[in-house]
Formats: sequence, C-alpha cells, structure tokens
Amino acid sequence: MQHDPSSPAPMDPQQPKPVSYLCTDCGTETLLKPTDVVQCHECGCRILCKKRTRQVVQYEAR
Amino acid sequence: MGSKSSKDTDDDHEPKQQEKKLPEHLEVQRTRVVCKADAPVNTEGFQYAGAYSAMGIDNSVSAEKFCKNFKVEISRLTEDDMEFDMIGIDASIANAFRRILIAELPTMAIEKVLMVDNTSVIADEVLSHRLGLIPLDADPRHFEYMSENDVPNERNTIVYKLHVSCKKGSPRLTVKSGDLEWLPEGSRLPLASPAQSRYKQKTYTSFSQSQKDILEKPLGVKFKDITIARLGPGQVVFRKEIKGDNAEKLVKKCPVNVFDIEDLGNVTIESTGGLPPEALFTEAVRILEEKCERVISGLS
Repeated sequence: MQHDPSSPAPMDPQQPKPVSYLCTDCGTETLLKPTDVVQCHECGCRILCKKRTRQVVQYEAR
Repeated sequence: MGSKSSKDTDDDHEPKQQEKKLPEHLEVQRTRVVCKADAPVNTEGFQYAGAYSAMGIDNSVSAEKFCKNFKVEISRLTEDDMEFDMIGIDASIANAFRRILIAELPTMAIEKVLMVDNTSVIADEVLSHRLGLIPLDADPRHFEYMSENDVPNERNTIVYKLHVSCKKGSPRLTVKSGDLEWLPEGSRLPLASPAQSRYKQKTYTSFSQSQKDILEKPLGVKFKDITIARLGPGQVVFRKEIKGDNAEKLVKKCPVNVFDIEDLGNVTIESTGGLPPEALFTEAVRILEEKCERVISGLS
C-alpha cells in the first residue's frame, strides 16, 4: 500500500493532521484528529469509514 | 503382449481368402477402452506390429489402413457444445486431443482489472475475480500472446469499461456483464505521471489504430445477463479491464454413464464462447500437427 497523504505524518507529532473519514449513516465527510471522539459531526453516528484512495488500483482477475 | 492361442487346428478349416478374426476377448482388448468403476481398462494400445501374428492378424499401423477405417460421427452440434464419435482411432491419440482441448487451446479472458472506484459491498479482489470468469466473444486467433516485455497494443489486448452507479432514491441495481463496454480505441485512463504538454497523455495501452479496423465484428461478452454485482442506492462501480491472450481451460467431458467407449472416441466439447466447438477441435488438430512437425524436425 502506498502512503496515504491524508494520514498524519510520523515526523510531526506536535501538529497532528486530521484524517478524513466518511460516515456510514449520512455519508458526510468528517475530519478527526487523533485525540478527537470517534463520532460524526453531523448526525453523531459512531461508525466511520476511511475514504478510498483516488489512485487507480490494479488487480489480477485470476 | 498378445497371448498365443491353442486353437491352431481351427486355422486349417478356415478359407484362406477370408480375413482372420481374433477371439472375442482379444478383439475387445485391441479395440475397446472399458471404463470400469475404479479405472479405465485397455488404455494401452499394442504398438507392436507382430502382436497378433500368431492369429494371422496384421497389427501394423499404416496411413492407408487408417484412412480406410477412420470415421467421425457427430451426435449433437449446437452453438455452445458438440458431441461426436471418432471410430477407428487409437486411445492415446484421442486422449491427446482431449488434453489439447483442455489445456492448450488459447482463449480470451479478463486478466487485469484497473479499479477506479468501488463503493459496493463486494471487495475489489472478489469483483475482479468475477470479471475474470466472464466468457468473452473474441476469437483468440486474431490476437498474439503478450509476454512480460510486450507493450499492450491493439494486437494483443482488448479493453473494456464498466461504469455503473445506483442513484440515491432509486431501487437496487444489478450489474450485468452486458454493462461491459468495449473500447476499440484503447484505454482512456491516464497514467499517473506528470503530464507533458508536448505529447499526448499516456494511457495504460498503446493502440496505434482502432480495433474496429482490424476485427470484422465487435468484441463483446458472450452472455449479457451474468450478474457481476448488486448495488444499493449511492454505490458506484467504475473500472476498466485490460485483457491479454491466455491459454486457459475449456470444458471437455465424457458422458457420465459410459462404460464402453469405442477407441475412447466419444467426445463432448463445450465452448466457452470465443470459438464454436467445431473450430475448437480443428484448432486442436492443428496444434497436434505442429507438435508432430516439431518432433520430426528435432529428429532430423
């Protein structure tokens, strides 16, 4: 897996970058820091999914 | 080895003009392959010309005798399968055709899948594997094999596109194999490289001309109603597939309740779509002929 640019960089612990998540209930995008509560900002749902990479992924169909 | 018979006195009574006959059990051993419950019997043919010379039978193999005795009877022929009998052929040659039909005939199948987006519940790997199982209506004889060093071009690659989405509020959608769209101009996905203004955007394939000019009929899927995935509202399947030339298996089977196959010649060929069954068998004959010529050139 290639390095996701939206994930926090390990070199910079003082300023953690927020990671983008998608709510499984309402589908809105939520930015969360490592210290935040895992919860959707819109509807309060606690089930969040990571976003899919924008790169084209190649698979073997065998 | 043929066993000697103790009926030497019977030969004196037979007219010499009449052709000699083997005893029944030896004739069965010579001409029949019996499928027992545990294993086939009499699969080894007697190659020695003098195997039955004590009985007055000439067991030598000659092209003239083969042409006189060999015949093919077709029992069933449909678009997807055929069944025929090869009478008067050796069991080993019939088995050679069976193995060539199974493992050495080239066929076209989806091999590489480029996944752009997939929000369905099926994982990318499973979705790609299901795509690889779709029969394609493409003649492998029009394409070349693609090795590791080859660049995908219009001679060795077919490109399909699949872009299906289910809108919010609409009912559940089923993605069928008919949704695969053939791209004769090649792939439209840009490579992840810095764009250069001088040259055209590089894609995953290098088609110098459209495949419509090369092939006389459009390349599609054989069956349009194969379910690939089911999408709920809001889910998207968007990807392209690049397919190379593969030598993959075709289905060949014998009927289940056969216990006595004459010279192992009863053949059922089930085509996976690219070629009709009779073309598959002629291709198998051609492949066996090439193998024989390779051996002959190696011996000389």
